[in-house]
Amino acid sequence: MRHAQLIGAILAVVAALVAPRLLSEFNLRLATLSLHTSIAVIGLCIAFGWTGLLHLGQAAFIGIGAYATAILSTQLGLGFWTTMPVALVASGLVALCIAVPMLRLRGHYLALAVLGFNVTFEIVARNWTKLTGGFDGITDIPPVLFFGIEINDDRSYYYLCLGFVIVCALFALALRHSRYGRAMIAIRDDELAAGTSSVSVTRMKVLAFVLASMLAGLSGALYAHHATFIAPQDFEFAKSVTILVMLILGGELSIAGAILGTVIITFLPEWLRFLGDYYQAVFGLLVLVILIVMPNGIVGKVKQLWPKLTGRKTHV
Amino acid sequence: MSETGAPDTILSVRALTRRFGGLLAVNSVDLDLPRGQVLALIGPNGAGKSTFVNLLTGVYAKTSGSVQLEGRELTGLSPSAIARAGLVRTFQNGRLFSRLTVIENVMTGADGRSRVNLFDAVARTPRFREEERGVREQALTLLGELRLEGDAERRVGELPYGRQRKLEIARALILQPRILLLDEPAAGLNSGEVEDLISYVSVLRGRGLSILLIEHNMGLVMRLADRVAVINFGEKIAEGTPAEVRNDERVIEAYLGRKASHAAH
Repeated sequence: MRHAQLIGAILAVVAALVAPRLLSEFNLRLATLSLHTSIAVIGLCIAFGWTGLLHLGQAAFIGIGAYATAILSTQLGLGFWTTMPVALVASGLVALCIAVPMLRLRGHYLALAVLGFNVTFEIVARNWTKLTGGFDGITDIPPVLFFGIEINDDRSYYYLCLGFVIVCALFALALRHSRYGRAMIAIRDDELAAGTSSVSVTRMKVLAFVLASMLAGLSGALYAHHATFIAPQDFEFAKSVTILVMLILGGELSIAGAILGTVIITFLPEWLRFLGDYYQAVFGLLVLVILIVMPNGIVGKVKQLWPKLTGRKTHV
Repeated sequence: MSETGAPDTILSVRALTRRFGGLLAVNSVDLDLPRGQVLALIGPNGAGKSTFVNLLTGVYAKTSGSVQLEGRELTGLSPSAIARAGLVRTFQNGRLFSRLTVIENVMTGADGRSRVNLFDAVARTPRFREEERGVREQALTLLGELRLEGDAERRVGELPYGRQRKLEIARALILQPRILLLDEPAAGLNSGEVEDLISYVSVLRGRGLSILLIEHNMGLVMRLADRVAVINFGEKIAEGTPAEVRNDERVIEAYLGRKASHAAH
């Protein structure tokens, strides 16, 4: 299984590298969209999949990252490599301010607080016209400069996002195979036993929440420079729910699952386009069926079926 | 503070009390755990044993009283701080991390003494790799002692119940505690597994570990304990050597009822 995972990862990267040559211009945009969205989903994998924090506000943190880089680059003329770190720090600090008081409480206070924060964020973005452009949003966000070269075509931007996804996936993988990943998963499995096993539960939860939100901020910064235009409705609460669906579909424990789920949910509307007005209903039904058939997501199902597929006995 | 216990006492509990509304679940209990010995705490169902354990380990807050580990007050600390201070427990109903492998369960128990930070972990610094290797080796050693080394990479759910109970002991020991609190470790074990447990606890005692044993199984208590304390209705009703306690009128009454004869022994 270990070898199979490595081979799977290499195949996925190769496929991702050649994909732009095979995709239409429109599908390439969708592929790029799924790449930078998947960074926020990897974040949710850490917060919810591992640690069990129902973070229903990833869209707001994508928004913080997107507005931070959009405002700084359009109003102050700063470059992406300056504004992106600011986006990361801004989303991390906001997350810290929410997490520290909320995570001291038990139960679902965090989910409610973050949901409320997401709704508040939309309202502020719509009404603080001076800073955010209100309903009209921010237009003409400049392209990213990469060693002095303007990345203004879709194919180059796709590769830039792919690079970020690989870095974020490796970051999450390193985290998973360390005391942090173990402690976070332990907290969701049995919070009380994690505490008595010497894990600092609250600190670990705050860390998971902040890291998740920072990854969302990064995702938002990449989104802003890709779309070149952002508006409040891009970051509404419904998008946070979509991100949760992406994670659960792929497999909530797995980084590969987070990416896979994002790609599928991003392309699904196109694949179901022939349904016309029935799309929403069929989409909802399809997600429900998948969750009933595969409660641990696609990756969970593959892991479960792996011994049967290969005809071998394995411990994983 | 000098009257809180004899000099060879590692854990001293004074007037520990917990009230749930009108119910005094634990009522002014005093208890001293002698260093390097096995102290068993027994009592009928509902006597307050579990509440007492949860007070010691920070799961419940006390109403009043004190718990001191070598003079350091433990009440008011979080469960993880108490574990780091040297008092580590197991659970009577076996609480493991089901989505982690067996060895990862054990390694999680070492989190409290980790010296690596987030940067070390993500950048895989030498400091991280050295600590990780060390913790893994210790976990494997403990799994070997408990004859679980063949299960290291399996998921917890694949283990039979008896091995899950052993795994919990390994997870508690990797923090190198000064006091091990075993909460009904024999519950649900077959007789062969109970024999294994007895010999392993004897080994741990031989290494100088102080052990607080909460147990129902009187055979186990009589064979392992240096001292026995008995609680009933939240109060300590007797304490002494196993032989003394076995002959104590109040203990027999608590276990067998008011009209019991001495036929009990």
